[in-house]
Amino acid sequence: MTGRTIKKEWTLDLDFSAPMGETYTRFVEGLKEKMFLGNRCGERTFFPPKPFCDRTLEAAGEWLQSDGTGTVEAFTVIHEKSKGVVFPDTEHFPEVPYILGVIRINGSDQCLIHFLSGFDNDDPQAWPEKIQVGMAVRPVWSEKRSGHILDIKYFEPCE
Amino acid sequence: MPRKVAVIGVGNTTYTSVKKENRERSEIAGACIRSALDFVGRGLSLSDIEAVYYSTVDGFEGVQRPERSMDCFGQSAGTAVFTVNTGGTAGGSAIKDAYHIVAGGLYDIVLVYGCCTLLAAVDVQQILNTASPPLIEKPFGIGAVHLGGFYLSRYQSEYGTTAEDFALVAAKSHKHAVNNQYAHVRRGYTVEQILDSPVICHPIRLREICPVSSGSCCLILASEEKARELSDTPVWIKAMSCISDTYLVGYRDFLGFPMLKKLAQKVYQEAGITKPLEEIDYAEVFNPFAGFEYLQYDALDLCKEGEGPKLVREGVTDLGGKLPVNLSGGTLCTNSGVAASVTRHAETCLQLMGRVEEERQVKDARVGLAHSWGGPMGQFNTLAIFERD
Repeated sequence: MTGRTIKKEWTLDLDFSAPMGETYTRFVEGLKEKMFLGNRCGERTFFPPKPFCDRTLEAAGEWLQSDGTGTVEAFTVIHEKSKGVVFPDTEHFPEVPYILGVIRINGSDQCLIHFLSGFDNDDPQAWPEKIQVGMAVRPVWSEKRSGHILDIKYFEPCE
Repeated sequence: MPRKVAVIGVGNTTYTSVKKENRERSEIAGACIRSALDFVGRGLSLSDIEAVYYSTVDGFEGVQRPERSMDCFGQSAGTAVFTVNTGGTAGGSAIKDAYHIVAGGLYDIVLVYGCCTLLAAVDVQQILNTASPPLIEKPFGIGAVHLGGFYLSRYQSEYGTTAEDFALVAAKSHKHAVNNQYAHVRRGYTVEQILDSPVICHPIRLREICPVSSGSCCLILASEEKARELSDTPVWIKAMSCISDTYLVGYRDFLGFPMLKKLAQKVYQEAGITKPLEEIDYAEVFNPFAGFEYLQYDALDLCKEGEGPKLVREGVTDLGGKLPVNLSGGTLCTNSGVAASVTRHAETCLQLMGRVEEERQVKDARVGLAHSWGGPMGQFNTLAIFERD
C-alpha cells in the first residue's frame, strides 16, 4: 500500500423555501415596529411566541407584548469563527470575539439565543467577569428593520 | 419476556485526522467489520450477520442515504440494512434499536456500524448550521462548541468552577489516551499544557475540545443462545434507553443535563442500580468538551451537584478509583462523528471483557455504563448498563 489517494471534491448547492406560519409571521412583523411579541399557551407564556404549547399541544391563546427586556441565563464568548460558513441573510454578523447569550425575555417559559454586546471592547478577556447569570438586558434595535430576528442588533446590559 | 442480548464483538479501525485520511469510506467500514468478525472468531462470517444498523447524521456524508453506497454489509447474502439517525447519538440509538430487535426475537446476530461521519464535510459547521431552525436560531451560526460554552459557563457561574478544574478533567482523558491504540490524539497533555492553550469558546480551551477524527467502530450483538456459542466473555445489556430534549437550543436553561438525569433514573431502575458510584465499575461518558464530564457526574448521580472536580482531584474516577471514567481518552481524544457514540459502548464492553491495554485496564470490572450525547445540537442522550457473567 502506498497511502496515495486522490480527493474528490463536490458541493451541494440547494434551494429551499418553507412557510413559517401565522404565529412567527406576526412575530417578525412586530420586530419591524420595535415590538417584541409573545403569547400565552395555557399556563405558559412564550417570547418569542409559539403556535402551540409543546407539552400539551394546546393552541396559542392571547398575544402579549413586551419591550424585549430580559435576563441572561447562559452565555459564551466566541474567539474563533467557523471559516466555511456563509450567513446569507445577515448583514452585520460580528467579528470575533463576540458573545452569544441565552436570554429569557419578559419571564418567558423558554429562552432565545441572541448576541450580547455593550461591554468594554478594549478588553474582551474581561467579558466573562462582567456578565452575570440573571443580569437584565435590553434589545438594541437596528435602524433598518426588515422583519428578521437580527432587526435586534444585540442585547445590552440595562445597567 | 424479552430475550437476553449480549455484545460479543467489537470492531475498530485505526483513527487519524480527517486531513491525513487516505482510505475510502466503504474501505474503512469493510476493515472495521472484518476486525469485529475476527474479534469473535469461531468461523463467524459476514453472511451470518442477519441485519446491519447503520448510524449516521444528516448531511455529514455529503450524499443522500449513504448506506446505499456501502457494499460491505453482506447485502449479497440478503442482510437487512437499517439506518438510524439521531445526530451524534446515532450510534447509541442504533445499539438500542439492535438490542430491542434481538431481544424481541426477530434476529439472532446483528451488527451496529458507527460511520466515520466527519470524513467528507470540509467544514462541519456548514452542515450543523442547516440543522438550526431558519427563522429564530440559524442566523446566529450555533455549533456544538457554542452549546458547550453555554453549559459550561452556566456550570461555572453556579459552582465557581475554575479554569484549572476544567483542565484537570481534560488531563485525565489525555493521560489515558496515550495508552489507547485506538485513540487519535495521544499527546498526554498536562494541566499546564491545557491551560496554555487558547480559549476558543469561553470557558472552553483548545485542548479541552475533541479533534475531528476519521476511523470507525462497530459492535456485534447476539441472542443468548448465539452469544454462549460464540463468546466466552459475552457482555449483557442490562438496560438501555434514550431521551429527547428540545429541538431549539434556546429552549433550554443550560443548568446541568436534566434530561440525562431523568434518563439515568429510568435506566438505573431497570438495571436495579441504587448506588451508581458503588455498583458501577467502569463508565464511558460522551465528552467532546472535557468539562461535560462534570455535568454528567451530576446527572448520573455520581456526586452532589457541582462536586465533580472534587471526584477528579481525589482520583475517584481515575484508574484505581472507585469508578474509573473515560480511560480510553473519551470523545475528547477521538471524535470520528457517529462512530464515537458506538465507541463509548465498545470501550465499556472491552473493559468488561478484559480486552484493553494493561496500562488502562480496570481489574475485575463487571458492571459498566456507556453514554452518548448529540443531536446534532445536543437534543438526545442514550444510556446503557452492561454486565458480564
